[in-house]
Amino acid sequence: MSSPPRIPAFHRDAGRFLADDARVGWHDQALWHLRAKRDKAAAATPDWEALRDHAAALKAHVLDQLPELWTRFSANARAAGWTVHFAADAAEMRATVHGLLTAAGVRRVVKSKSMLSEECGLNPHLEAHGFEVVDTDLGERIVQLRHEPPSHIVVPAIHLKRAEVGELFHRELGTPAGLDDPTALAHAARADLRRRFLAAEAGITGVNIAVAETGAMVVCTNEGNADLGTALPPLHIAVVGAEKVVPTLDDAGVLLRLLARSATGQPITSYTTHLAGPDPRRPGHACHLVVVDNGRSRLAADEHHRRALSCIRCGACLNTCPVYRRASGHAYGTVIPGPIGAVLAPAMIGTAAARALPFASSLCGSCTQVCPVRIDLHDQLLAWRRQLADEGLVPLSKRLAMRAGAWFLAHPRLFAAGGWLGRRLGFLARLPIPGPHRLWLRHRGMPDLPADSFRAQWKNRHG
Amino acid sequence: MDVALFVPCYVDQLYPRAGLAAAEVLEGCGCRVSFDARQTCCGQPMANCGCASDAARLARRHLDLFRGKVTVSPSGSCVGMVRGHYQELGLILDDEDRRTIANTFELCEFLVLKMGVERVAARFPHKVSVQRSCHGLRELGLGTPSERTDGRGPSPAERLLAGVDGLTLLVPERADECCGFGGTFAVTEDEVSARMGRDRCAAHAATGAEFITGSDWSCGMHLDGIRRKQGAGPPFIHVAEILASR
Amino acid sequence: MDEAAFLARFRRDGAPAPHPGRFAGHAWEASWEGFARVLAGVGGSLADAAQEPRAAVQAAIDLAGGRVVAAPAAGERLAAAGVSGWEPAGNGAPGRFADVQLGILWAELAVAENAALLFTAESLPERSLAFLAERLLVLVPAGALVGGMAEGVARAPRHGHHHTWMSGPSKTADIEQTLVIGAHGAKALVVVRW
Repeated sequence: MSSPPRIPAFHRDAGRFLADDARVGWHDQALWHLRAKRDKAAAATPDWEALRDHAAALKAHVLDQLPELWTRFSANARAAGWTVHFAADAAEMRATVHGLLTAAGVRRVVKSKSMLSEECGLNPHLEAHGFEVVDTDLGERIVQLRHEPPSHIVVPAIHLKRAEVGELFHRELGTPAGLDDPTALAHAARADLRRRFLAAEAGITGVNIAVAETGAMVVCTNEGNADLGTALPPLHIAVVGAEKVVPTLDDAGVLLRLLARSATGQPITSYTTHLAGPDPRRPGHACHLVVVDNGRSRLAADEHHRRALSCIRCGACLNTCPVYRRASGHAYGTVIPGPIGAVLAPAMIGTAAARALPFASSLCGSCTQVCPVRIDLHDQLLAWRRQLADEGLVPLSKRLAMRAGAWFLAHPRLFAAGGWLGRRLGFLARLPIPGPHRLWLRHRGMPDLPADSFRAQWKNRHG
Repeated sequence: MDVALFVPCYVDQLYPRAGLAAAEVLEGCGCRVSFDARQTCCGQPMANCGCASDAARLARRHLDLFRGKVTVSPSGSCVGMVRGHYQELGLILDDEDRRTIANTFELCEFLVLKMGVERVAARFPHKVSVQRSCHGLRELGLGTPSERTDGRGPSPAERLLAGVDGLTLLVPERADECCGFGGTFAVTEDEVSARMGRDRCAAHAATGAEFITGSDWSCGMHLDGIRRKQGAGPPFIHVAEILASR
Repeated sequence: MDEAAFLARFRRDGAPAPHPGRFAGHAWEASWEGFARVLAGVGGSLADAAQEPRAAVQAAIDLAGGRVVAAPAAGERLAAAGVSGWEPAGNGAPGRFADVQLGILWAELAVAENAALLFTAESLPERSLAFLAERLLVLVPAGALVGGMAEGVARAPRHGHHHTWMSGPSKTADIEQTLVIGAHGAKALVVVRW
């Protein structure tokens, strides 16, 4: 059912976004605003760097203990009344959820944000089978109505301006033409979604943290949509990635202190809900939890890249990334964009399909510095570049250029002579001869070329 | 102290004044400076493209040439390559190699942190906006990246610049955002790179600075290229050139 | 997929990285001033301690302009204090609170670090009231404030079908990063020390 993964054409799609100068400036500023709020929240947390160290160590422990932790989790979760399912891949996850909805005779489903369901193509699958699936996070709802994927994992519609949302809501929700006030638009969506929450027969949510000690899942939102989606319908299906378990509630507390601060600069999300199975007061209330692998075990076995599974999906690396802010999330062509997306993609969709993404970075290292669980993101990108080169997935022209360059640079006399000639013939670069220098000079003027190199001048002075 | 000067390949060929200035500043601080003309490139362009074996070839040459020496370079990025990435290239490194790696320093880092220099006798009566280049800042840990809450104070370069006679040190908005150079990124993702560069140039210009400075001519090459294309804005000058100004 | 087969995919040889233990971080001060400051920052407000709590709640009920429903733990206190104008949550379908103007809840704990209020299966057996009500009034015992979230989590229940931390009213910034209060749940949240 799922469409094959699109090979990310980062360069083309980033170029498309960059063509609109004003929008890029605005997008960059909106995301920088989140980064600035994150900085403020981090600075107001005296134990911030120690907290990051602790979370990194906790996640390293978790990644080594996944079978043990899930065994403990599922025993406690079953005792609390959850039905726990395990899905090897996206297809099995879709089939499991589909089966549960069918068995319960459900047609109307409300969903809160889950990057895992995006990853597994859950919405298109259910819609194709006649279910009404309504995304209830405002940003998710906006992109759902536009029939496009989210461009950010925390603020899914950050690429859109209020006027575009206004037009969309005018068309889809009947708001007055020209209405573009965010409060009025958000409240119009609230009224429409409130109706759907009350009529829904099932709620699907993602999971931020699964707690082995209690058998509870934690879901964090600012809107309260996951709470309405689980408190009203009689059936709750939670989908969780296999990396999301922690040993204890105290461990969950460590991640909760980092998550919202890193994401939006809030000290905690408005709602942080621990759900441990059905409400005993609600007859017929049923709760299912689907634990999903879908490539995670493969990544967990990859010594070079397994740390990427520590990610808690805060989005801080997207917000700080100067490339993401200017290219937008859609340019990455993957469910998760930005630095963490570029690190995960080669493992999740394959190196061939994702080969452009590790190169979509200036390697400035800001992502590594903001990551609350200290994933060495920019070094991970570099490690993927090496692996891509080993697998022959770096363009031949680039590999040949590097091979030739290394040979040339290993011969200092040749290098010196080449430089001498180059400085004298540099003016030729202005001629319309194709080559990488054209791409340089498209955006940048020629430097003033000195007559003599450093080495020549040094020799003149020192003999 | 005897110091081996490591002049990055592109500085050697395109920005020789930065190399000469670096030597001059070092000598002014009492160092005996040597330059081995067999040196070329540290291998960073190859490493950044993932071409580890090509990079390793140049890294091996580099380590052999500078073996047993105290090496100083007017580039945080190339020093970052040596100190932070040589162990990723599949090279067999012996103890002497590791010592050579550990004894490779960025110019201002060496002056301030190794030699204890607080001030150099320089005069540069201008307003200067500083580009906190990523590799020196975030890889070598020179200065405090804006993402961090555990302050390590200003970078050695800024500490020296602050002592330059007549100089007004300015910091652009978004104190340490990347300029967008990124090696081959500058041509393979030219649109993003150029936009980053234009934004950074605008931020520097908005400080009212007459010059942009920094420890890496690679960032400078990109920012100065953008300036030339736009026909306005402060030109780039390497921090070594300021420190060598009288 | 069978659980054992699923888990086998993640099995690793060798000693696991050790668990880092409990995090001994910053000792946050358990101050209501700090709580109030953070709460204001997330869109909520703390009723003035100078005002008598019973009167504050009665005034809020009188101004509610519609249905006022109290969760059981809050209802007990209101009844004991002789506060009028509210109805108990009672029993029935979770959607029956859809037209509630003011929900009155009882929180067991408040955290100064992040203005989070703790609700459990005991204080809030039925979650829907907390999310359907237009506005929320939260009663919290004046002695139930802790400094840091780590301390709060240590006191959270390990049993019961849910527990929920709530920090301010419902909000979103999904349209152009503009903050909008009341995305789905409460459009306002006032905390009263009881």
